[in-house]
Amino acid sequence: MAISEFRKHPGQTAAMLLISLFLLAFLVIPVVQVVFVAFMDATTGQFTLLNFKDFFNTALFRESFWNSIYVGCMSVLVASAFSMPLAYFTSRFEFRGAVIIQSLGIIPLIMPPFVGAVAMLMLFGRNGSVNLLLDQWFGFTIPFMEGLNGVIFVQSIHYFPFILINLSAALQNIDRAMEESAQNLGCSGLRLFRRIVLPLAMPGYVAGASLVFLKVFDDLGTPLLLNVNNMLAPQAYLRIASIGIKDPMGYVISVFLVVIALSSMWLAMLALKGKEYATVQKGGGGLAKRRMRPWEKVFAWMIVLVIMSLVLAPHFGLTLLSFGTIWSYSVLPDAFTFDHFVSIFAETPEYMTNTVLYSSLAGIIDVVLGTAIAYIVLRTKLIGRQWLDYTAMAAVAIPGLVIGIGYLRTFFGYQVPWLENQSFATWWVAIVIALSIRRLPYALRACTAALQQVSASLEESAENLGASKFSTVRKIAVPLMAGGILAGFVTSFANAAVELGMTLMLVSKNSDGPLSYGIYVYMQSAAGRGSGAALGIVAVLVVGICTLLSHIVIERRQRKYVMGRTD
Amino acid sequence: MNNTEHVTATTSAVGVRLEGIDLSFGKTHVLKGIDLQIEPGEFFAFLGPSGCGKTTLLRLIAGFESAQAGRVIIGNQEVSHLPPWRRNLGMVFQSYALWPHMTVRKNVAFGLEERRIPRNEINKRVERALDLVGLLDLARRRPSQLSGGQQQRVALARTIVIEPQVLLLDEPLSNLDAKLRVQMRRELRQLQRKLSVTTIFVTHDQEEANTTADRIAVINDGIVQQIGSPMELYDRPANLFVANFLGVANVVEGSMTEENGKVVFHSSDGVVVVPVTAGNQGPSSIVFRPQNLTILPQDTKPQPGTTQLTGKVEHKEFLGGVVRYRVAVGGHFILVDAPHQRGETAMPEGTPVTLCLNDDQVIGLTH
Repeated sequence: MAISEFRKHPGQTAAMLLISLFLLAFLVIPVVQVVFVAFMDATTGQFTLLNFKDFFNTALFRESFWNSIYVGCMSVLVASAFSMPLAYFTSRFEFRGAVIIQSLGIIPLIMPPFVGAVAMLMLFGRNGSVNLLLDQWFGFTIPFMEGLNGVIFVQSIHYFPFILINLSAALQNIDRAMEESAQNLGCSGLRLFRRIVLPLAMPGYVAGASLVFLKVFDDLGTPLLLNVNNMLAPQAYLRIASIGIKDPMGYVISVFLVVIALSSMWLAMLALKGKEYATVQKGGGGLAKRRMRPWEKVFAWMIVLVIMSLVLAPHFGLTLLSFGTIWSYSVLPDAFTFDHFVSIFAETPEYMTNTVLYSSLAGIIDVVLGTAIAYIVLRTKLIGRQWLDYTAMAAVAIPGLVIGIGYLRTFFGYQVPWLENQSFATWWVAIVIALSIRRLPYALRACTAALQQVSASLEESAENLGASKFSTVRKIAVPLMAGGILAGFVTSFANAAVELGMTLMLVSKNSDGPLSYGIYVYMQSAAGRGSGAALGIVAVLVVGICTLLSHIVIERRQRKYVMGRTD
Repeated sequence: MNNTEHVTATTSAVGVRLEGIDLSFGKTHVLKGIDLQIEPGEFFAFLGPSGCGKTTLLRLIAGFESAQAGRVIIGNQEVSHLPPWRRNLGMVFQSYALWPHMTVRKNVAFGLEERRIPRNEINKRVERALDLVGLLDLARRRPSQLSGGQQQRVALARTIVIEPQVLLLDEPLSNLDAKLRVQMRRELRQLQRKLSVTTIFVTHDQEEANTTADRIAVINDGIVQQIGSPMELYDRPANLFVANFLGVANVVEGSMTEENGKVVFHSSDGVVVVPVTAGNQGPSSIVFRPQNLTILPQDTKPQPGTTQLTGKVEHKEFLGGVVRYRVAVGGHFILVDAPHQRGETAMPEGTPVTLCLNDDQVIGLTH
């Protein structure tokens, strides 16, 4: 009976098969390679646990392990503190600031966190602008950027939009009657939020929070540039970069990164199990919005402004850095110049063109795969469909670094047939595929969430009226999912542009490097910071404009589908 | 609701008064000068077609909409400016709006917890409410594990447990299947009697309103068309809308004139001439129900006290208890119900017939 499902739906089966093959070749096999090496004796090739014993016997690795966990948890906490008021204001009130929150909320995602890190060091570091001013006026300083604090600070500013976006979406899906009935029973204000709204939005929050944890846990660039090396990801990178691709310790740490990330994902899934509330019952929905009273408006604007100024701090610092001549031990740079921009456009335009090309291709691959997988998982009965979802989602737990190492080990021996002397592992297409694999989970979650909101009866009625499966997907499911698919594309695109760990491994020559790679290369030296910042500004602009455009599209679509309340 | 030993009698039921309610959504004028008085302990229904404003009116009372003009007075207190959570009204939503993240017990306890009632008191009252709706066994379930009827009872228990001043029901039966709906409306009525809580029930189904409500306000186009007991509305509709909305009505247009001290109605084409007990002269309509006529084969001796109309059976429908004939009388089509007895056959289409209209059942409506 189970097998006949495949025979009955050849189209779906073929799609599932193709996706499975893609995931197998470009995700499963490279990662399994990495794990193999971790359990392999470097000299004899035999199975061994010795590498892990070495790991635990090294104090530096143990410390790095706990530091990574601590930074991950604290970042989630701080990011939540940023997101909750913002999500609340936008979903609850007719608030002019909502548009600002929505668009500015995306901005940190556009900028590579490690670029933000350097700029934040200039602003909030021990000798940064803020502390110089504080010391001058009040005689004290705040250790924003000291050691792990710096990583937490930068990461939470950078990644809180994951929580914001997921939480806002979840809030928007709550049926108005859910809160009205609570109000009717005497509940209001913050209590209403805590008892009804928050629990209903919890699935969205947990999804966002687990993403933040994973991102922070995996991130390589930020600690490296803040010179915090006693964390897991930098340790893995430093081992391989300094000792070489044959050293097992890098692989052992990779296994730890993967295992911890996978288990946190699994925990999040457990928490969510059976709690996917589809509470919208008639067409539109969403919480009732009301106008703010004047004092509420003042309060809300104050919070929004504080958070937004923090969010914009890296960009502000980056702008100063990109236009500044020399900036050291002073509140502002000594003088301003356009030289950095002139030099990057004259010398390295390929960083920009590569980024647009790679990110768009990766984004397209992601939404196509994401929509197909979401559909197969939610709407078909094919066996193993759940595994498709698990596998694709597992990519979120694989640090880019690990994928990079895995690709090198797996594909180095394969030549691209029509190109001379071109290994597949170092070909630019490999970067695109690796980017799409790495960003697939985000697009997939967005697509899945969107499809979950589309009642199956909408599709069934189309089929009932004679539409085939394929045209039902094309004419009903996809248009109704459009907002989610676009959101998936945006996150995928924006994220692909900021990927560093993997790119560092896979880029073989500068002309193949995307923006993030170029920025990292420049930022490594104090002299290159200006040009690196200029590249960073270009990255922010390019991705920012795309994001804004797709945002407008989403807004317009949503307005189209909001139906009036029936009497 | 099978348990009668726990009677939560609300000590003093309160009335609801609406004065000059005017409400617009943008350019749409939804409620136009509504004035209503609902008596303490009354089961009152807002009846009207969809889009007539009845749900908006209910939401206004609950505090979810605010009117541009007018006052809502509950008991002796004006509540127009109170937020929903200060009004102490219990509303049952059309979609039930049970919180999926809470068990049945938590859902029901919610309103009491909000009122900072001691835990043991809450437990007692929740038990009582669940017992009252017969769901004590399912207290630990989640709403998603309940059937539609059970969800409806939870919604009801959740609302009555707070002993609201007024119970507001927004089409509470519309999501249930037909059989359950009949059962639930009886239970609802019994429960309301038991609690003697002032209740407002919004529905578009006249049968629901008739079977449950003490009085009904028929609403159309944002205006209260008529208020009265179900029978009053049926027997003495104030206008054509009410006559047509409640039950089946034959309407004939024409005018009234006075002849020999009596008021007589003439249809515009002169085919229907009926004496009317009350009514002003001038253009008007008459309304009579299908059961007010007797259908007889032509040339049968007419019954006394009736007006005879001759016509031809144009169509017939067997409804079980009665056969409904559509009879062409001149240019009019008149519906006639003939009670059906076992073994009787219906008159075939095309049969020439005489209709005897009971004069005293004719309602005259002056335009």
